[in-house]
Parts: sequence; structure tokens; C-alpha cells
Amino acid sequence: MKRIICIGNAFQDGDTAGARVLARLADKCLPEDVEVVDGGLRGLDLLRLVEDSERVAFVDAVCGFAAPGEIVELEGEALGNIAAEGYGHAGGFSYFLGALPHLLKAPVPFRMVGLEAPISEDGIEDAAQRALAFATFAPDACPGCPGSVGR
Amino acid sequence: MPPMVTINAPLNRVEGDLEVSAEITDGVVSDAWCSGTMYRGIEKILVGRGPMDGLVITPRICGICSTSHLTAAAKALDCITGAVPPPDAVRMRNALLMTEHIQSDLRHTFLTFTGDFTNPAHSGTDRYTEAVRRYEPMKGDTVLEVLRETSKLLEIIAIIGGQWPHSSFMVPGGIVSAPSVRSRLQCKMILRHFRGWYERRILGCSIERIQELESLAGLGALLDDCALQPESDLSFFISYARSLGLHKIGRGHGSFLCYGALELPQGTAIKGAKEGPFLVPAGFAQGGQNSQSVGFDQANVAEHVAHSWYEDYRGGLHPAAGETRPYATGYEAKKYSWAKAPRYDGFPAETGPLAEMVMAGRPLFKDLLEKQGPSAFARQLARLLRPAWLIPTLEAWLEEVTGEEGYYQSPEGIQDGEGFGLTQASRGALGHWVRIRNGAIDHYQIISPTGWNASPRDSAGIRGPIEEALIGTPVRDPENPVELGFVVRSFDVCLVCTVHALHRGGRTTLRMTRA
Repeated sequence: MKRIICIGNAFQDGDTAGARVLARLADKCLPEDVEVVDGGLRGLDLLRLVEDSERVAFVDAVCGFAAPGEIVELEGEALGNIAAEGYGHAGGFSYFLGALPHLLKAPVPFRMVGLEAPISEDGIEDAAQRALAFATFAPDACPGCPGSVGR
Repeated sequence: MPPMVTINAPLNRVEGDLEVSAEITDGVVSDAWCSGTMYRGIEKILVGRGPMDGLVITPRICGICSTSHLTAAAKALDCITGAVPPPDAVRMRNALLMTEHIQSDLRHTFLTFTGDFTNPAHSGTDRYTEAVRRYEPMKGDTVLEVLRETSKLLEIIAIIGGQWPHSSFMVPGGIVSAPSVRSRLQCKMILRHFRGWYERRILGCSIERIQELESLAGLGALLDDCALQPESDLSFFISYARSLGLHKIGRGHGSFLCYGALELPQGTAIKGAKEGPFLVPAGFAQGGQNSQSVGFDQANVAEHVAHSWYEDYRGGLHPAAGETRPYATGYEAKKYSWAKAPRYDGFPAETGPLAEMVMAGRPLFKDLLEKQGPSAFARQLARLLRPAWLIPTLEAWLEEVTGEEGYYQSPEGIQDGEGFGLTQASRGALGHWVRIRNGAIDHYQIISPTGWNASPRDSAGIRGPIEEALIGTPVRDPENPVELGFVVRSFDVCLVCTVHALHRGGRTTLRMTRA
């Protein structure tokens, strides 16, 4: 299964990006082998889900990686350095991202699609498209379903 | 170094929002203040809701000990309704709570506590390179093993409870699932695998050898035993922690509290550490090196707010009569925390695995406290070894379950009334005090383990346990006060998280505080 895991809290101002992208993706017709998951506030307990995936796109709010309102795609070392200092004993999402390359016994390609505040409707759409493109490894995510990639 | 400086300790790797300020005189901590910096208002949120809502909302208080909150919430409703869960429901409730403790003990030890072993302040020590190899955050050999193995272990909770964290499988009168033979077998296989890993990788010996230890000398002999696995972490942890002097810092008040937990189900072959209804005995002990436990009565619990950002009341209030009225204005010089100050019979008390070892009368820890007193090392060793007592009982209870008497005894409605649910969370004593009026929650007060450990001063001006434990701690470099981190983290503080938007540089919004 290919997965898009949206992280965040719909009820917390400043942390709604993942939930909004999740809602946008729910409106789309997605390929059968793509699952969109509400990652909520989960951290280390996402491991089993990722281990069981072919490819994973994470979506979350980010701060300090790009200009205000921009969408960024992060992978590799850029993600590994995020949790250099800050994590609790539950790990947390940033810790999880840092440890993930070392934890996976079989490699699973993953990427973070990050949304810098302020977040616009266009930004939500852009992030949803990017996450879908990475998860499906194809720019046209659902060719058999006309108009499905847009709203 | 100037004779006196005040520092705000950089406490990342702490769950939630904690600030610690310390006054350092001639290189030693002379005073300290522990401050919870966020008000959440869970108790207020619950008022007016249906009686069962506590089973769903309170597990959301924390993502690492949600089963503990569920246990306390369910027991409070058991208490109000008079419900008596069938023995196998008790076994399953216990089994899942113990599973949560085991993962928490190992994750805290190797994700947060030993992270400080890799602090550059120790780079001149003999085995620093090995410490980094084992415990480097997110990359260390042991860290990665712990992440993998604890993730598998938690499947036990998911199989029986439907999910982890934030499961709501307990209800007054039992649990909501009837685990199949296959599910129980799966759980036993997961646990069997985990036990093998814990013995091989963490302990380096069998669980039984740990249980047989009666003294520090015996522990030393075990570590010298050439049969001990060389890659095991217990041996390295002990020798490295002692080389850093962790057995000499973090003494504290020397008073311990345990509410008692893991009720012995009817018909079980398992015996508690002492006479009574619990596997983990309840008690309160004072005296540090010669702590003797006395009986515990929840009526002796009271919360003070003299130094907390709440409307004042005189002395302390029992949680059944407790008030949560935020008031942060006008007392900036005196009030300094959103945490209240719980006291037992008027005394501060630390809680957690070391307190459980004291109440259970474990000879190794009795000897350790007599010879060295409470310390950061003693607390963490208790946490690292607690699974050695939990795993065999967990195995036995999973084996004893037959399901023949069911997993649920209906309480036939929740009438108005008052009750409380007490248990031991991974970090220590946890209590929910609940009152139901006109079919809705009228009053809900929670005292968490970190409420006890990270409490501010009380009405009499007596410091909380962490504040007291910091006194006398030598700080070599105020710019890198790693010694304070060891002391604070030995309590496994948890003030829980909220927002987590990723920040460049490892900062997590509202997750950690750095002055």
C-alpha cells in the first residue's frame, strides 16, 4: 500500500495543515492502492504503518524551512536534522522522522510535504497534489478518473 | 565562576512544558524552582459531560500513558457504580497496563535518560565512544533496538484494546472486547519474543537472576559474571552512570508514595509483594535511606495552590473537594507554576518505579537506599529493572485467562455518586476523583505522577520533590548543566504535549522550553 500520512491537530491553531490536506484528499478519487491516513499527533507509533508501506508521503505544518506561505518537500538529511534536540519520551513526530531511516530494515521511500504559514486554499491543493504525486510516483495520479486530481 | 548565578536549565527531551530554574552558589545548586508552564483545563472540560466521557477524554491527556488514565477513569466509575469486573477482565486490564509500563520504562531510559550520556561534557570519559555508539539519539544501537522492540510489544494493547495510544477498551464492569484464543496466543508470542530480547540485550542475564538479587554486592557480582552478555546494556548503564557520579546526586526529600496497583484477580496463582489486594503494594514511606512504608489512605491526599497559578484557598484541599480556578494575575513574585502541589498527610513525596520498589520491599533497592540513599541512579535503575518483575506476572496472567466467566459484568447504569480511581501509571501514582450529579460529571480532579514529582512549593513553602532533589547538585558548566538534566529526568517528568509543528533546529512549538 502507498500511503499519505497527514499530521496535525484540526483543533489547534497553527497545526491544522495536515488535517486540511487530508480533507482535500478525501474529496478526490484516489488510486485503489493509495491510502490517506490521519496521523494526528502520533509519533513513534507510526513505525508499524510505515514498515507496511511501499511509499509514504507525510504532510505537516512546518516553520522556518521556506518563505511564508510556501510548500516545501523535505527528505534525507533535511529531515534527519529536525529532531536534533527536541523530543519527549514518547518520541514524537520529529524524532520519528529522524530515526526512520535507521529503523527501517527494508527501505521505504518517504518524503515530507511541509506547509509554511499562512496557509491558503491554493497551498492546500498544491500540498495535496505533491503528496499524491510522490506517493504514486506519477505526476498524473489517477489517469482513469478524469478530473479527479482537481477539486 | 561567580559565587552565585541563576540559570534556566535547557530541558529538552522532557514530555510537555517544564521549566527548571536553579540558583547556583559556588558551583552547587542552592535553590530550585520547577514550573509547569501550560494550563490545559482537562478537569474543567469534563464538567457537564456524560459520566462515560472520562473514559474517552482522559486517555487523551497523554500519548505515552493513556492506558493508565483509562484505568483510573474506569476504576472511578467501578467505584461509583459498585461494578465488579470478572477476574479475566481484571487480568486483561492489568496485562495492558503492564505492557504500557514496560515500553515506557525502556523508552524513557534509552531515548531520554541515556541521551545525556552522549553529552559532549562527558567526551573525556573512558567509554564515551561506546556511550555514543549505544545511545546517540535516533541512531544509537540500543536506541534503535528499543524503538523496534517496544513498537512490537505495544501490539498487545492494539490486539486486545483496539488501538494504542488512546484506547478506551475499559468500561465500568470490565472490558469491551472478548479476546479470542488466537488473539491471546498472539499476545503470548509477542511477549515471549520481547522477554528473550529484554534478557539478552538489556539485562544480559535471565529475569530470574535479577529477581534473586538481594544487595548491591550481589548486583556487582552479577556484573562481574563472565556469563553476562557483553553487549547487554545493564552492565554498561551501571558502570557508566556510576562513573559520572549519578549515585551521588538527586537525593530529594526521601519520601515515597505508591497508590497500589494491579489488583490480584480472584483465583490467580500470582502473589503480591506484600499481603493485600495489589501486585504493587500501596504505601507512604519517609526516611530516605531507611524508608519504612506505612499504610496509604487516599483521604490523606491534599493539593495546595499557594505557589500555583490558581485562586487561593487555605492550606490544602482533598481532590474530592478540590478547585481548579486559574488565576495568574497579581502574584507573579510568589506563584510560578500551573502545577498544583499535592501532599500526603502534609508531606511532599516522590512517586515512580523506585517508590514501587520501596513499597514492595525489594531487597536490592532496600540495600541500595541504605548504602547510598535515593539518587538519580537509583531511580533510573528501578525503572530499567521494573520489567523484570512485570514480565513474568504478565505472562502468568495471559496464561490464566480462559474467558469462561466473561469479561464484563454490567453495572446497569451509572447512578449519581462520588468515587475515585487510583492506580500506578508508568511514572507513578495516578488518581481520578469523580462526582456524578443529575446524570452528568459534576466534578473531576486528577492528580498525575508528575503532579507529585514536579510540584512547586506548598502552603508551608516546602519544595516539591524535584526541586528538593536538585539541591546540592554540582554544576560544572552553567552553560551546559547536564547534571541538572540527569536529576530531573530521573523522575521521568511528563507534562504532555500539544502542538508539534516542525521547527528548523529541532524546536517543537510548546513542546520544550529553553530560556
